[in-house]
Amino acid sequence: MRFGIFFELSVPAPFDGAAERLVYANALEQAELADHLGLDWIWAVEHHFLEGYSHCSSPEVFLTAVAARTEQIRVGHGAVVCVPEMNHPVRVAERAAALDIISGGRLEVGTARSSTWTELGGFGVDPDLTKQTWDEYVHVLPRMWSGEPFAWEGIGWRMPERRVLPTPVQRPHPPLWVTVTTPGTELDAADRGIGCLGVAAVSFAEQERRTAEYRRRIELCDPVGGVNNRVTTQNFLYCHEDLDHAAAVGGAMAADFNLANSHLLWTREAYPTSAYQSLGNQATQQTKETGAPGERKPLPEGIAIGDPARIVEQIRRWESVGIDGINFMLNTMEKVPQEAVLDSLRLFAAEVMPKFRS
Amino acid sequence: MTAPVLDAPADAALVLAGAEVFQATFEHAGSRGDEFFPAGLAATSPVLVTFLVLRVPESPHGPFTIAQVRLSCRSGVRARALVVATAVDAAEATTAWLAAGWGIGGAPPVRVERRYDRVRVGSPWFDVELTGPKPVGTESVQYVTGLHPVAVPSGARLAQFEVEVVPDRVERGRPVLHRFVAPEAAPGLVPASAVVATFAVGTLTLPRVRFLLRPDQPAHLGTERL
Repeated sequence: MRFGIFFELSVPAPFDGAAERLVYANALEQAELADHLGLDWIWAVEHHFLEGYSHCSSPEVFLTAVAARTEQIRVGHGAVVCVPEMNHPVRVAERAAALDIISGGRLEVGTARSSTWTELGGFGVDPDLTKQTWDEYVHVLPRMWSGEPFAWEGIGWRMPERRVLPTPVQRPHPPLWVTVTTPGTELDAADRGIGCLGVAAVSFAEQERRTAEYRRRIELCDPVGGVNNRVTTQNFLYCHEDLDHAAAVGGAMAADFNLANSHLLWTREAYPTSAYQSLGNQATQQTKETGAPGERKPLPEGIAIGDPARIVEQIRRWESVGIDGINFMLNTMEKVPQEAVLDSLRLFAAEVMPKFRS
Repeated sequence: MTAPVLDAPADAALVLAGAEVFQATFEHAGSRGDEFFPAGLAATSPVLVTFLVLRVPESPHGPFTIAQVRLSCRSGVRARALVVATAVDAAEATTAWLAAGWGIGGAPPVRVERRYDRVRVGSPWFDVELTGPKPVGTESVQYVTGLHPVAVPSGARLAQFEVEVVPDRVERGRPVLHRFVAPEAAPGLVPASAVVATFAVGTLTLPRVRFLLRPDQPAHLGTERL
């Protein structure tokens, strides 16, 4: 079992420069500590215009800073938005290759297509086409990273023959992933031989079903490049010796994130298209439209908040459904003081991680 | 807008065949939009301004046409649309029945013009057109649960119910706004960037009102079961 940190870089209001600088500084300190403690991954999202929820619009810059400050931990895009209006595919390939060089071959490349109208509408993207353009990206990135002459004429973009430079350190290329929110994306991943980067809360049973289907299907894949057959999920982490204290502090942090997530304007809410079948909303997946609107629901099972014993128990269950790793969110809008975040991470590394390392 | 008195809430859902549902969406510009919402609701970013028109050819109380101006928001963690203006075009008894049973009330007129290459609708607040309609999958379209201002004996509330539509066909196109007058409940509303327009034909269900929300309180504190 591998463990990572997943950064949204959420910022408390007012959204002034001071708050943003604090969030970035704290995140970099957390990344350095994670490296020192032996965690496996640092991931950074790419979001645009999502006030408070995420001010991480240039993850390649943040990840470069992480790479420069760390030695062992892998750095990952969680994920690059593969939509031509937002990131030209050549620029994605170029930036990723440069970061792989800077990090000494520690790059992971998650791919995504964005799920909010705030972002897609902001860039004038046609939501009907994002699945197709994403598919083009994952097929052409390995070819561009080969350093061989490359040309393309597709749905979303075209280019005459060029060599895309530099080329990455890792061969054949940095591992490719796709973020998975809605059911079915794990099959897209399996068919292409790329990893599943879970970014939405799902139950143990649902994760087990998805993982089993992914494992079965990837055996038959037509890979876009080097195969990455790993599956991860996303979680919160707040570890403290006192279970009640952990539940209070970590629970509030998770609730704040879920509330902020629920306030995003999902593409399906704005634009009717079969390309976005669900709202992609983490919070409402945990509070189905069955009860009263104001009814409070408990935090979902599987959450890594508690004392070390409880977190070990929860991770054992995740391990039993066949996943390879868990990526944790450590904070939301600086709800948890930085020292408490760092202490939580230290306790996790001391008391929980060793139980999952041979 | 004077809120209708919800004094005879419908006790069962009403299924209405052959309904036409027009929806045109724009993004509000010029502010974050927080000023349009009571304390219990949160604005989305951006706020979507939706012009919704329902034309029902037959109901137990005769035909009716409804036009609404709706604003996207959140109640707790859930997606909602706050109704800031309503017009009802129907016989007097039908209008009274909709107001008493669902809190849907307001003065006419509402106009719907269907042509082969466009649908144009009008109300006291908007004149908007769907141009270049193209068929899309019936599963594509979604209608967000509305929050309708009503008056009940205990005070002002938001009646929550979702207009459920099972479309037989859906067309999607570009919305063109020919005229807009900001409703009294949302001065400063500016429908700017066009998003999309749809026109659906199918079976419409008006569910009974199950919940009332206190507009000044968050959902987990201010929800009352009817």
